[in-house]
Amino acid sequence: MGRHSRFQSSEMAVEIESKREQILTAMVRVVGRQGYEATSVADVIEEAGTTRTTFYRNFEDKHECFLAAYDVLIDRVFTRIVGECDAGRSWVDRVRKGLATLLDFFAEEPEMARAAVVEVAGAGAEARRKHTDALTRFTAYLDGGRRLHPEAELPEHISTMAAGAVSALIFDELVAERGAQLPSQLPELLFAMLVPYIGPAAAAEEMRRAA
Amino acid sequence: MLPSPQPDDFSHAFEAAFARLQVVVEEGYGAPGDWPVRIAAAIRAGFEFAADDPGTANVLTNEAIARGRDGFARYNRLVDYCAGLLAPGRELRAENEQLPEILERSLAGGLIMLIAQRVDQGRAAELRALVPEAVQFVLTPYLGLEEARRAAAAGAG
Repeated sequence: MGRHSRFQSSEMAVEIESKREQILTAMVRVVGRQGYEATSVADVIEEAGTTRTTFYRNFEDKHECFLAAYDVLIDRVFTRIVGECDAGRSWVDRVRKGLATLLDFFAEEPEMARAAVVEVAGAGAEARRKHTDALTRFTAYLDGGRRLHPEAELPEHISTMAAGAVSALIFDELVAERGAQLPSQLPELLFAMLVPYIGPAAAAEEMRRAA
Repeated sequence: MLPSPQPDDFSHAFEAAFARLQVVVEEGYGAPGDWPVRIAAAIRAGFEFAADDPGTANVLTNEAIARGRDGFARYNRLVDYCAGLLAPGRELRAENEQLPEILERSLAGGLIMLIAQRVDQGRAAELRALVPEAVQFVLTPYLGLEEARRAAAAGAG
């Protein structure tokens, strides 16, 4: 292969990847806007400004595309949160900053938030498994809180319940189309996340600090 | 995979499941004793209900939130119901120790998520063993870390 054709081939690969990313972004936006069930491949193609041929070159069907889009979305959320959570901070500060970053992201991108938290539940068993895996990634960050009060013998699944508590409240707000107001709820959501680890008095103090 | 009710059947399936759940939970909640003992008995009843009948628990949780607006509204009633049983815990806190308004919904959401995940993963039988953890989780905001742990370990769980 000559230098010119190698360059062309590389340019094509970039273009194909770019088209794929556009489709994935479009999938999340359309699902977030009109719901997974009501979303068709035609809707996604129109949103992405691409063709049916390009869509089916990249994905078997709507479901496969949504699963791939979900992975990319969750990676994006994590990258942003991890980027904001300096390892030098205390555990409580990292939780506060991580939660604030998540709420800001969801407020800025309400369609993505709804796809990630609400619509994923209606996209089948594999999608729900991915959602559970995503929550498990969050809970791994929370586990550091166990070391704050070793004498309290915190339950083994405390992180799942704490993340579940906050996730359930975020779910409520997104279903009620109040995603834009999520950042204003940081203090109360922070309390819900911290209280199983540090107890009510310390969590209330953190809630006041975050207000 | 657990069977899914058809859309027309879902509302009936949910309402029947919710009514059955309320009966067993209220039996537990009616146990003699202070609120921590009663809420622990209610949690045990709810977790055992899900362990014994994961298909019905699935209708109340995973199926409900997969059904769009109608399912969300029904699921919301389940959360409100659980939150209502938790609210009397506030009376155990000193007046100056503020608890956020959303507390009970968050606790209910945490418990329901634990149940929904186990059911979805085909591991509902594990829920029985998780009752003491769930009780400790729920009691902590009202009793504090130490007392909640003791209460869960000493038979409130």
